[in-house]
Amino acid sequence: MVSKAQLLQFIVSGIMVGSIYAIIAIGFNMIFNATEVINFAQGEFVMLGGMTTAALYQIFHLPLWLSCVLSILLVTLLGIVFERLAIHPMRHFSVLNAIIITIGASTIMRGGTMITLGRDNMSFPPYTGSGDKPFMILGSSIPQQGVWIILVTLLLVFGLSLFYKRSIQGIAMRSTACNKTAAELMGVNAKWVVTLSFAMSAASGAIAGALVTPITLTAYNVGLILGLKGFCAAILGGFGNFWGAICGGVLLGLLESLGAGLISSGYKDAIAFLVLLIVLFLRPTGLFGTVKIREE
Amino acid sequence: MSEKDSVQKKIKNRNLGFATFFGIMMLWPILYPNPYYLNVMVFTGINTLVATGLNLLFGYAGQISMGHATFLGIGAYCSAFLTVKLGWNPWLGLLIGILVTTLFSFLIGLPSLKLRGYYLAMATLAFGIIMETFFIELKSITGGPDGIGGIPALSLFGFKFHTDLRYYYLVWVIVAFLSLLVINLVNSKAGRGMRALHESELAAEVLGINTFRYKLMIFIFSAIYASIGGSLFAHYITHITPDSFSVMHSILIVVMVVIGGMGKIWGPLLGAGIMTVLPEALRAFEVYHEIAYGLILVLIMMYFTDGIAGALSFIFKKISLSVKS
Amino acid sequence: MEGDVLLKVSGLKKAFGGVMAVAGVSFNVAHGQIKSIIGPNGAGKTTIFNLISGALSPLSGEVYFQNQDLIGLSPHQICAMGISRTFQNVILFKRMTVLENVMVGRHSRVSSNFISSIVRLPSFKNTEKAIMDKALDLTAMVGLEKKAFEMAQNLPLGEQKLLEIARSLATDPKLILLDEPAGGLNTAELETIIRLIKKIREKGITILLVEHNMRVIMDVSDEIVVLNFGEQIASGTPEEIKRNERVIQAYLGKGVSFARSK
Repeated sequence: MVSKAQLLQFIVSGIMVGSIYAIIAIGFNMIFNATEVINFAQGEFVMLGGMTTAALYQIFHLPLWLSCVLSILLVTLLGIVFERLAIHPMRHFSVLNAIIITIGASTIMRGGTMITLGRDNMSFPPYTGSGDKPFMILGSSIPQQGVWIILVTLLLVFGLSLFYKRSIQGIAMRSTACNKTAAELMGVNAKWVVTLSFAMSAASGAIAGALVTPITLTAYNVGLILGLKGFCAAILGGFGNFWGAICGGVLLGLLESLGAGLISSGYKDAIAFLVLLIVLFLRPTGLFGTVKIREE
Repeated sequence: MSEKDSVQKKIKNRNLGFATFFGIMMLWPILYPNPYYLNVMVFTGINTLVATGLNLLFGYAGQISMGHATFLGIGAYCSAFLTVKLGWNPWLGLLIGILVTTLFSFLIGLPSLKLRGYYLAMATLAFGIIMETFFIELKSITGGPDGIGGIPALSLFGFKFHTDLRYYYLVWVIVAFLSLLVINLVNSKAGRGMRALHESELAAEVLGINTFRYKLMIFIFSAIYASIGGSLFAHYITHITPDSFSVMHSILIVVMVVIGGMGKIWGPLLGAGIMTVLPEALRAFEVYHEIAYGLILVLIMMYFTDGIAGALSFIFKKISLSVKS
Repeated sequence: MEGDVLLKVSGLKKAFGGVMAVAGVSFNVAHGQIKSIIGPNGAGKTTIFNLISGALSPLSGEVYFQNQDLIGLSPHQICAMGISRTFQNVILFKRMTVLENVMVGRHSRVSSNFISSIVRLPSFKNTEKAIMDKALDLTAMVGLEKKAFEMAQNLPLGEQKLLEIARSLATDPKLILLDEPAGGLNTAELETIIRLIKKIREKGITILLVEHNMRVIMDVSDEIVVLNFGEQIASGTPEEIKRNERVIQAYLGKGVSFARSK
């Protein structure tokens, strides 16, 4: 039988990894709300965030904090370039085309990374407490990086909800998501909203990558699975819904951690996707979803 | 000439083209018996089969499947397991593979196809990753990361298909036959229904077409073609491992359909041909394969939506128009 | 039977966001009649069509066709029951020929399955011929027989509208919903449409019409229902509607004069 301490450990790990899924899910939602496109390349932003930071730190010997910041900036720039080059010209094309383009883009990012940085795992030290003993909370341990993950996630969530509620740009984005024509009539530049949502989505992906790499390592091919799990979290919480993404992420993290701990760790990845299929089957709108998901 | 006559002529041309091509394929090994070429052509044939099925899904139902390599894997593993571990007849193994694939594709398609297009894409991707995990973990059935070896050859009335030459003929006869079925389907009432569905789901529904049922049937149909390809693959290379059925391979199949030309009759053949031969020819640059696939997908989708088949027919038309004048 | 109520709509309501597009509409359509729905833009006319044909589901209200409840049925089921419709902004299958478009209309009336299609059983040939013959008849009925093998997207607007009607007729409907068939047509094309509508009625098909063009409305309608802001403000024969105060007020200033009718 599983002890209470072990259970708590699973829960703590689950929240930690779930925070990452939540950030990725938010990234999906941002782009979807602005363009109705599912960005298959979302996971690659996460991968690039981690890989670029690792490359800057290991190869160019930049200080860690600079590597992270630079990496996030670069990936954000990539997101903007991606939107301008591939998404904007395709705005009148069908959903099928858009999906294939994002699949192609993700493959390019993956392939490009493999060519420049090779196939091996890369990493960098945690922000603080490298080599130190992990924190103990109620008998379960959490590495210091894990605390950083949860802290930054909370900051990000708080910052974003403020942004959406209070800032002019945030309100513009929300109104465009609600009704593009009406928003444009009120003077919102819809094109710019799309670019901004890609930039923010890429940035949040990169942040997730820069956060989680010290714990999980990174490599050129981690993007696919991370992206899929983030998508799963988004669906679980209700696609397009900001708070749903967070709940979905944490819930998915918990399910995965508990499943891996209690059942088997070899099937860890399969758990997330089983959850996805079950949700699709039983309740496609997820926990809080209001998005119209059926063909009407 | 009248419109009706030109339609008849188009059909005649197509049949002629098909017969000519088939004739050339049948004579090819006699002219070029090099076993390496035969080997590549066998794989091209199998890929054509899988691409044909996926092309139907993309080009007519307008749906995306990101897990077709998985169905290939299911067919391959069913064939391998049943013939190696249980000693069953290979054709029976192929049939069971089809049945298992039908079940899985039904279960996945049923919830996903009621929702919008990208849900099927994600669901098939998720299914693909789950099955990849199962292929690796279920050691007792799939042999784990080492896979299953010693897969026996297919044979028909005692005639064994255990050489490259014999397998070449087997594969291409099967491909020709199954392609013919698809052509028949496209030019029938069901085919019109599919094309209508692709043009406007709303209008098709209002005209009495059960669009959901069509999408589901096409999805299952395309999965079955992949499964058959998988079984043929298993009996050819005689040793299968999980890494032949990864998500990367699913994406490769998508590339084949896209570069060949979605919804075009010759698309799957062209796409499979290019994407089987090219990587072989560019073996030295293997590290560039992945980025190349991505670039192809993006560029074709942005500038050449009809793929190579579309570009070729465009060129043909221009040539025949200038010849007439 | 003639005169019986074929379609019964009662208390139909539909909202989009905060806007009540259809705010409690009720009317009946009798067998064999031509009933028209008119009203200023945004009055909810096409929404009603969408509700009847199953493309949208109502907030509340009922729709009965031959005493069968239509609410909750999918569009293809409603088509099978005998209701067909055209679209305000013509939705044709652009990359299929004129004939193929009409043939698609026969889909629900001819049964054949996947297997017989791919294996080309003899029954297949027969069903294909039956479909093609009926489609040719209908194509000729709307006067498009010479363009049967043209791509639908190459047709001018007037002929596209005719094609869409022929396609709808292919489903053997008892009731056909025509959504602004006269929209964007010139005088000659209008004459053709009016003649076609009357021909359809002669075949015993009941017609529910949404239209802006008063000439067409006054010429073909047996009864008219007038909507404004999702509500029914009048209903009656063309003569009664012409003289109705509320109707005249609703249209005042919109440039449509009831006095100017033939």
